[in-house]
Amino acid sequence: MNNFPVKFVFIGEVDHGKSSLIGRLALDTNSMPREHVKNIRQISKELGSETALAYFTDQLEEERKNNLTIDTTQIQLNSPGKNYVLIDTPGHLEFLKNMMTGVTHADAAILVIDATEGIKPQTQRHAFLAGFLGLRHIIIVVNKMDLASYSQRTFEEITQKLRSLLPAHTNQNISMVPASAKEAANISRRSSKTPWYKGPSLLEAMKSIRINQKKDSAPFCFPVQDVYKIGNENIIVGRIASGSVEQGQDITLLPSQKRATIRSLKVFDKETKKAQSRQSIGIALTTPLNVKRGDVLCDKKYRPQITTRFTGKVFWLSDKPLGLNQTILIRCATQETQCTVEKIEKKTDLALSKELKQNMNELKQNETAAIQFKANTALVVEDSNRVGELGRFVLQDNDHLLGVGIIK
Amino acid sequence: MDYIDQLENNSIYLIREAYSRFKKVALLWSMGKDSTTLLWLCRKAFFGQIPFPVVHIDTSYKFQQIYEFREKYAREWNLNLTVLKNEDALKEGMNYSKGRFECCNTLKTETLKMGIKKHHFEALFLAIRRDEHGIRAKERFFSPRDTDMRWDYQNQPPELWDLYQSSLSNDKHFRIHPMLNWREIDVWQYIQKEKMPVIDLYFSKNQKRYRSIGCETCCFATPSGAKSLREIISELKTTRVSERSGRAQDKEDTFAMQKLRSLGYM
Repeated sequence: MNNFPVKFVFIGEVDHGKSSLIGRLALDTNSMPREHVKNIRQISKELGSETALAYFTDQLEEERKNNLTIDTTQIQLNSPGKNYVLIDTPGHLEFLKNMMTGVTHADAAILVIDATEGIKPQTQRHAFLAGFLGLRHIIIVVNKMDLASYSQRTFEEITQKLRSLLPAHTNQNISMVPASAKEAANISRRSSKTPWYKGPSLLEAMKSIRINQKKDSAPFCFPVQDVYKIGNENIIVGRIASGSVEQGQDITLLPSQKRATIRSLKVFDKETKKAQSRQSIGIALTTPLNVKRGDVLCDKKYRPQITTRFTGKVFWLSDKPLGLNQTILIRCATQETQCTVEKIEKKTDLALSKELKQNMNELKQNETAAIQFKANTALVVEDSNRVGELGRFVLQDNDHLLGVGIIK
Repeated sequence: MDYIDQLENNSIYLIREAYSRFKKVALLWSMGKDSTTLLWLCRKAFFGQIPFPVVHIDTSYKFQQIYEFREKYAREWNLNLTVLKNEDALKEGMNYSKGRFECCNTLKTETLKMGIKKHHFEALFLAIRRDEHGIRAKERFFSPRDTDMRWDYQNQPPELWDLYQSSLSNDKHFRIHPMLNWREIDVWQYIQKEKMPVIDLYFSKNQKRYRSIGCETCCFATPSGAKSLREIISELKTTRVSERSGRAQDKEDTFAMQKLRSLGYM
């Protein structure tokens, strides 16, 4: 029961059937309370449609009346021996920020394509963004095969075209499943409607995906959230971003590069000798250093980049472009500082997957580029593949998130 | 670290994140299994002493056991307990017979609104979970509310990884949901693991138990023989009856929960 659920995010163009696929999976695995199923049948009737599979996740009145997903939703799927979290996302371009919210909370992506419509700009954009935001596993579902007479040719045309479009870093050994959410074909079990297809059903493909848990051999790295005064002691709190830590270990405080030793590790009312990656702990040091939120504690042998100048790959969300020399707030783990845009290079439009050579003094909505920043104060950063938390950042003003970035 | 440990550690991270980003925070405690778990997590996050008020929105119609539990553990855990009540509405006789939507809205949502105004809370910790209700599945971990407490569910801020948005312009307050990823069964496994106290209404008497508790007037026990934590956990592994099936306010009409929540209900 304590198996870690694998989290799948459903992505792709609007109306290609993401929510319906989730509904079908939920229905066929008996994951939904009976009452909800009954309720959905009744509401579907009231709103004048067939049993709407999409209603399992499309819970808002506005979503149901317009047959459109607005915001991301998560539901749990129970299948024998394994648990999944299914994350629905909106396909509409206007709600891209909600789709990205779903993606950053997932382990793997399921890209849904309508067999009758094929690959759309949003299909490409979503596939690219999933890779950009760090998802390494993807399953392709060609949905609505019932409307394409379960044609092998249609399926192969779409999947061949798609292979040439997928970002290079996605695992090439991916499952591509011809399916119909409506007719329950190749969703939780293989269907006789596609005798030419020898691959797995969607659920089997999901089952075969293995997510590697973080290894503890990585160097100890701990972004500081806060410092609490408990009794006479200063307790530094945070969650271990990578590696493990022991009582008595020598550490460096970054960015100041001061040295200290771990006197004790605290979890609630207990002390512990050792703590591992992803644990939220309290640390007391032997030397009274001035530690504050945004600092990073690291093993003394480990040295991430400490810099005021760095380059990150940025995806821009705001309708106001990001301009050269513009100053903007950057947040990376618990660090926050103002930074200035010094260079914009390698600009790409995601939907077209081609490099843009014009207007290199700004980055517009839904474009991506390599951007060189000059930060007001030193930042501790790292390749996102090494320490995820120190390799990703958001760009924002006081009120809104405007862009997102990855360091490689 | 197993899955329950990971849920605990991530919730503690979130609690500390909110505490560092907002000056005036409070925890909403209904003494149910979820908010008591959240309270337990807060005690862990702050090494035993919660540094902010613990608020009970009291409709006055709660089960007697709920009030007893509140008094006992407020003392034992040295909580800074604040009880909020809509005295005026109660004097005028507000109760569920005036309509459950109306009653919930007046005695819970409106009371909370007055409390936020009076105490200037910037952020409130709540123990809602995605698997409780479809509309809660749409929530963010840090969820802004406007001055009227309205939830703009059609325009929620993006929440990428754990870089939460916490801007307080326009006099908003934030709802912080550290347990959004927990399932009902996770909560019970955690209670068992931590040997946490829970109200005995959750355990079966005469082949019935409460799966979700609130006002005595609007909660109904569901058929169950589960008399222990172990039995509850094993029941939840196979049941297909929903957790809130015994809560009347969700069922007034199709989108009742959405309407209640968009007005600021928890």
